[in-house]
Amino acid sequence: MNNVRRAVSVVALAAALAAAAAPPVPSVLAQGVPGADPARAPASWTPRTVELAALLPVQEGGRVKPLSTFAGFALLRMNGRRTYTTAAGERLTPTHWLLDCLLRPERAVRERVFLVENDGVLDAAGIPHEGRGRRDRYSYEELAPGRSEVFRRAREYDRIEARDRTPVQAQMLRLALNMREFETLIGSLEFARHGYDVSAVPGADAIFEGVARPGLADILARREALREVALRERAGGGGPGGAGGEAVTNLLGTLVEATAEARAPAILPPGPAGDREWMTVHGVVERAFTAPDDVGPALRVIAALESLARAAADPAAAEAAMERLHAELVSQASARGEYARVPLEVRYYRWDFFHRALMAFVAAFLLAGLTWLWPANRWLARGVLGAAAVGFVLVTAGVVVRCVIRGRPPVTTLYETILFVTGVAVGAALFTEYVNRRRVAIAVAAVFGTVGMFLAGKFETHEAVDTMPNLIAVLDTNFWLATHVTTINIGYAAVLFSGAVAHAYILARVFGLRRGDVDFFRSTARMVYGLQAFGLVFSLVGTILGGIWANDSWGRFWGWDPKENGALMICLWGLILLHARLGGYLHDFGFCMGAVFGGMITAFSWWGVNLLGIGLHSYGFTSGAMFGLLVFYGIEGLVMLAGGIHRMVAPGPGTAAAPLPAPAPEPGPGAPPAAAGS
Amino acid sequence: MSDAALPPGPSGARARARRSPAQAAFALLGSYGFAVVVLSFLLLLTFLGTLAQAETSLFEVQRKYFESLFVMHDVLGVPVPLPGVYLLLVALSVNLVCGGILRIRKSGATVGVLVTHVGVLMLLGGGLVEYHASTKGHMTLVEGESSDEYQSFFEWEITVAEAGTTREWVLPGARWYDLRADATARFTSPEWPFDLDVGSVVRNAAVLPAAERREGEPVAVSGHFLRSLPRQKEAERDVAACYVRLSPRGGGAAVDGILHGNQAAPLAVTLADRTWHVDLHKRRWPVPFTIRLDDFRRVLHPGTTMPASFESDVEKIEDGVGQKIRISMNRPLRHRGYTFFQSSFQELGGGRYASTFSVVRNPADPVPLYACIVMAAGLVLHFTRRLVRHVRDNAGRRAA
Repeated sequence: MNNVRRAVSVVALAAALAAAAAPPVPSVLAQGVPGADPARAPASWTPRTVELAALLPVQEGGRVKPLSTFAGFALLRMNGRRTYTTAAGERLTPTHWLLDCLLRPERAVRERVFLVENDGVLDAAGIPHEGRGRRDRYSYEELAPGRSEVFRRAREYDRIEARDRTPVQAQMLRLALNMREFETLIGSLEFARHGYDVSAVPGADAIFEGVARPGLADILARREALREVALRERAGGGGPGGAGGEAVTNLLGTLVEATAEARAPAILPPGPAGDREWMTVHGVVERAFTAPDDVGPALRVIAALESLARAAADPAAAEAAMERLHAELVSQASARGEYARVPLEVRYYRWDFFHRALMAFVAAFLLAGLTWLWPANRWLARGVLGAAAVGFVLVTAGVVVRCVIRGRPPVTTLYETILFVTGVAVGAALFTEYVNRRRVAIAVAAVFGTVGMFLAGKFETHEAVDTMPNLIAVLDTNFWLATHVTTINIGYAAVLFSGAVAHAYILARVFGLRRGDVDFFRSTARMVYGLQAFGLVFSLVGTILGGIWANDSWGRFWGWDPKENGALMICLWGLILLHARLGGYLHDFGFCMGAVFGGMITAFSWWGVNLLGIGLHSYGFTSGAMFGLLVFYGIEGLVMLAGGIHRMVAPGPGTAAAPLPAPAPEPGPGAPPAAAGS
Repeated sequence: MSDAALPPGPSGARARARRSPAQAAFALLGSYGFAVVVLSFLLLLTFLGTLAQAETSLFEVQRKYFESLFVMHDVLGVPVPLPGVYLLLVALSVNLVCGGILRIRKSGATVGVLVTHVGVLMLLGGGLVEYHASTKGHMTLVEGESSDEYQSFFEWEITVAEAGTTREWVLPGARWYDLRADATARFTSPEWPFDLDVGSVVRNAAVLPAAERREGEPVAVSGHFLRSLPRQKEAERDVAACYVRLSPRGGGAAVDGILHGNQAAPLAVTLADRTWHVDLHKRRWPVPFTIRLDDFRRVLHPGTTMPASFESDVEKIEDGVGQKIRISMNRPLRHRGYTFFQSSFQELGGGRYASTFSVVRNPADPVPLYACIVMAAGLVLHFTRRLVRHVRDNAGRRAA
């Protein structure tokens, strides 16, 4: 889904690049702006201004969201981070940065927010970068000399298949898209910074009540009078080519041109209640003279934007203007029932659940390391448990808040599978620790949580698009999302965590740790078994529920789609492990090796099949995932290889550590072979 | 009779030695070892079939790996024989019945396992019924159009009819589609004045003028010949074709012709003053009611090109009585054993649309749901019981 959204945005921007063979240089660079001297730059925004701006509702990607969310992902795309640090060392929020872009472009163009991963991009575009790092951040002003070349090359590289592009080509394209997006941002309130010359319009004094250079909102508010002027001129023989009609036409052309960049995000709630699509300023200008829509509410917002733009140099005045804009927008959005969750989303990003959870898991991991040095220290053990529990609570809270914001079950995108799987795995670990109290599950959970949250962060940064997108039509069903998707992801979590715990068993054997500690090996193997069983239940039920959903949506229970096959493979491997254990073909060591392999199968199902690029489910993030998946397989392969070698050269079970007794309590058919191998 | 509870050793060996061949076979088919082998092959075939989809159409992959008794899988150019998934599922069913239902010890401890096995058998049984007894196709309607039949995505059939009559003979693809390139199949009917030979079947073909014919390509008929084209990644896009020969039974010159799946009109042949139409098209099934498409809508998420919903307003007409129904994603129409799903659409210009419905008739339609409930109940029962015991044991151990 993210890919679809990304593709849409990329196509849109690429189309913009293609349409504008030589996009106009932003006026802020072409003409210079008063106050461009950083020494004379206006003072920073007041905290209240930034706070109110963050809460402004806008519509983007098909949903209403806070301006801060829009700003966050725009900055993430350009900067690779949600925050940026000014030359003066001031750390600013995305909303603060966006306000600079919108209202103080002369300042924004000097901030180094463009992350260039490889300076080969700059060499290719002829942009000087002496004394800078190979991977560094640049301001728009620094990139501007190579702007034409960046766009020219980007258009050229856009014709190359994504998978065939070199890293420099891919980054050139990305840089061009980012520069274009930045130009749109800094130009989007261009219309609001000044008034318009209406002196050529016959009767302008009367129409505009003596105002020499009225603003956009004032002009649009008098569109009926202007239309009458144009019609009168035509009726009087002036025709469309007459002086008055031409003046009105020219004025309209000026307005359309001035608002050319005011296209995203849509910030004007539509007039008719049944209309779902919010308007942009550009859209209102285009329609104001032709469509009979009620644009009164939109004009109030435009007027507030103009007040804000003209007050930008004065922090106090800007705050007052922002208050008016906020009140107007919130009132209109609330009347449409589209504002209620906006403040919660602002808090969601401010609370930064998943980054804090990452910190908690890292702390748990470090404390777990210390417990190996001082195993008798109870406080360290409690610290591990406490930190992991805090991480779990944060992940759970983050997932729950996302559900409330979206009104959706917890998993609807690939990004959310990472959050959910991590949460479930750590939750399962806490329960296992409660039952088992061996400190193994919780230590592994610390690692699992750390890796999970790290991956979630990397994913979000790499994709840099809203992680709460709308759903494509076939996924728009809360019932099946809540049942099949949730269930299968619980299965993923359990099987992966089982494989993770199995590492503790295998590595302890390989490195001769806990030699003679029969209880450790026995309890760890039981954990692995229990988690496998738990995972099998959910994988099996989840897979079949997926089939039932497919039957409900597409008319077939099973289509051998790669994602379906991946889920089936997890189930089959779980069944193989359990039956081989029952049959006596696997004992603890073999079962743990099998659990590690089960983790590899799960990774194939979760990520690998998406890389095949086929089937109904290949909607997820793929680029960049291949490397991560290969690293994972490499590590797991090494663990299994080490385990296999150890098994061949080390004494059999019963010497280093006594095996579990045969799984007699599990009744079933088939006599175990006399010499069961594990 | 819990064999798992039996320790391996002399008593087990003696027990095995006393078995009759039938008992031994029964024990083998119901053993854990057999289960593990079958499941392992299933895993392998599923994996290979998944990877194969990167190169081959899903339809072909299904035929080769998942609906076959045996597979010849290429490993570095060397064909390796493997059991097909169909055979493996049969073997799994046998294993489940012998081991999971009959041999398993019946006690409170095994209730959950037993229930789960019953659920799996239900699922496999449902799959078997679906595979052999269901029909799947599509019905495509332009707004304002109606239809009472649907056609297959993949299967082809040849129909023979005499002009001016309603009687139609159907030659299902199963009888000629898989013919070798040099083989022909002959069809006759006492009511036909001819025998019909079908041969040189091409699964994806173009009809080209004879002038373009190259060495080794089939001979031209009526100035045209069939060129074999590469198979499409989406097999439903393949257009089958074949040569036919109508040989008059009373003597006289045979008439040759070409049938192509995309031909606008059937091949018309006049023999003894009677005109016959021979046509090649996707297999069709009738529906005992009529569906008329009134309106199709594609709803987008606001300000985007992302579809939020596809909806078709249809009228179901049965016995002269119409009923307005809306079919949308995840909300199919189910009636008299037929299910109509919103599948795709085409924009025809001028604001007009054509809507495509997947149509399925599957006698085992609800079985997976029931099987899922049974399996879930069995698994939860079994593993909850074990978990409770494990927790209790641990608590007891800590208390001690």
